[in-house]
Amino acid sequence: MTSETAFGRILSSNIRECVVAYRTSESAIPPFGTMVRIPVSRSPELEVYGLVTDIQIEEDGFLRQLASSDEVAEEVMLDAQINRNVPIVLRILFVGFQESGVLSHLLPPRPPLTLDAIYQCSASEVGKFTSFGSFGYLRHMMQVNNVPMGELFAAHFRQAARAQYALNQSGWTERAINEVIYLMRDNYADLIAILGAIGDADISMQSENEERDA
Amino acid sequence: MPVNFEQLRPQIKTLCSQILVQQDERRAALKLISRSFSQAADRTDLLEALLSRLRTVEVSGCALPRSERIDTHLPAPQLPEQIISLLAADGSQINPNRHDEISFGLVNSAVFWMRPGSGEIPKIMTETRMMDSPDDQLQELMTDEEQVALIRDVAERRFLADIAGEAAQSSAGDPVLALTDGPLQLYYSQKSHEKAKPLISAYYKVLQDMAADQIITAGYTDRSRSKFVVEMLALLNDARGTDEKKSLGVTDSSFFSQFLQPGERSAVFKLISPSVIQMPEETQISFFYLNCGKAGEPQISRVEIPEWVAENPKAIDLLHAHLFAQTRILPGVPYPFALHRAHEEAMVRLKEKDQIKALIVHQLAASGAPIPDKSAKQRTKDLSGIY
Repeated sequence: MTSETAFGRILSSNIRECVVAYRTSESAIPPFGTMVRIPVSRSPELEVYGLVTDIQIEEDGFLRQLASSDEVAEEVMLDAQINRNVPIVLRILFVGFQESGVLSHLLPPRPPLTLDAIYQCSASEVGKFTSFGSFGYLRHMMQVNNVPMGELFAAHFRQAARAQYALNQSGWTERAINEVIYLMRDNYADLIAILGAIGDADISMQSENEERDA
Repeated sequence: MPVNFEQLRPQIKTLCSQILVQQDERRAALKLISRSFSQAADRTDLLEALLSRLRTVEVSGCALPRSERIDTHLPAPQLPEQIISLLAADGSQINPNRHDEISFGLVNSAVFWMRPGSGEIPKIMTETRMMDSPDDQLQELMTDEEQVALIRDVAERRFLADIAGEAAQSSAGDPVLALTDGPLQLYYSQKSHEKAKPLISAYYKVLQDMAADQIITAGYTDRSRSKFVVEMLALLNDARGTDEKKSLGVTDSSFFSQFLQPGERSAVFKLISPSVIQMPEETQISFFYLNCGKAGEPQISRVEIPEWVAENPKAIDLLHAHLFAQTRILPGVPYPFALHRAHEEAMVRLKEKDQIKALIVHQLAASGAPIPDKSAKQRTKDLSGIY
């Protein structure tokens, strides 16, 4: 999946978040924490940035029946996963926007509209958004309430650190963690949870080193 | 309150008592039919006796033995290792409604194509066609639901035959099974025969094309209520001077549910009916019953096949094995998986009908035509009430 290919369309939205129907014809579901961008159709200069905070795979009676089978034939499984119109729904938390080429870590002035297309951000887009300003967008992540906050930070830091590394922006991870510590200084319990999750995430650059050297 | 439940209560009681009495009567009738079936199976002149009777009596639908003994019951053969193409088709339609903003008809057909055991992703093809006759003419045609069903059936089977033809060409000699939901025999009243003639001819051509491509086609009827075998026995017994024609609602399914074990099929019978007799010889219909249920819970389906399949025992074995395997895919729901998927893909939902209607209205508006409205009756119905 490239940033040029829409992976889904907006089902509903408000000023803080939106719900997206994933197009099952796409090869892979964008992972949890992935940064996405949504060009707003009625405002050509406006693009909203967000993070995938939930992925829900809906079920129906047919699938429930199929799942109770001892053995499911390969072609039946592929049909259920690829052909059937089983909705996969993603929840996106807005973390900023870009209007007329200028980035902002504020909430978007207008939410995207129903059926607007949504794209996965490229590494350079992630790098540009996360290095802009002084981590203002992290406050939106701290207000997420439908998923464990620490897990979201860990997933996002992993993607952002790689993007920063690719742009030769060393020290981004350390500065980002310091910002989290500062922002969460009065909330020790959540801070420990976030740091614990970040500790579990593989954000060492060893693998990227190898990839780059190769 | 739209339904008067107070009035209904005693009526429900009466109805249930009647059902219980009928069940007792049917059990007794079933015993007689079972005995009559066993006696008929032992007759060496069975076919001749029936043919002689058919020369003097007109029947609406009756079974005729083929080469197998009528009390044949065969277990489902092992699924062969050979990978085959299994196609299933279904269709649905939008009936024109003069109370809508715009009255239009549409037929949606879907074919589900899988290759069991291959591990390949099944393919799905759909074909959506507006019925493009001038509106008044269409209205006249569509007042008859039988005619709409005929248009849908023929469209669905033409689509299936085309895809099955492709499958036959690409499968390098591997067998192709093509299933439809419901009987292969087209149902239309003889009085509307003239009006339906072009459609009926088109359907015969579909079956002839499948025969030419050696496609093993079948019509699958779940929970069949037909009485072709019961009628055959009644016909036979009339010929012998007894009167057991009153079968008290006993269907072939209720009889074969006692006779067939899970997975077993009955003998193949030829179907004699006014519409089948008019069909070209190679497309005439035969059928067998199949128990898709499990021990203690029989589920009898009728499988109709055309003549070129009926005269090919290997084709019948392949069909029998794959049909039974298909009914085993969804646990507890003994219905062919591929047919269910074709149904899912073909179904036009109310929401989709509204979307299509909106597209037509927008197109008309963009062309400068006045925007039509629903009838006053429909607008009143659409007003939300408290229920």
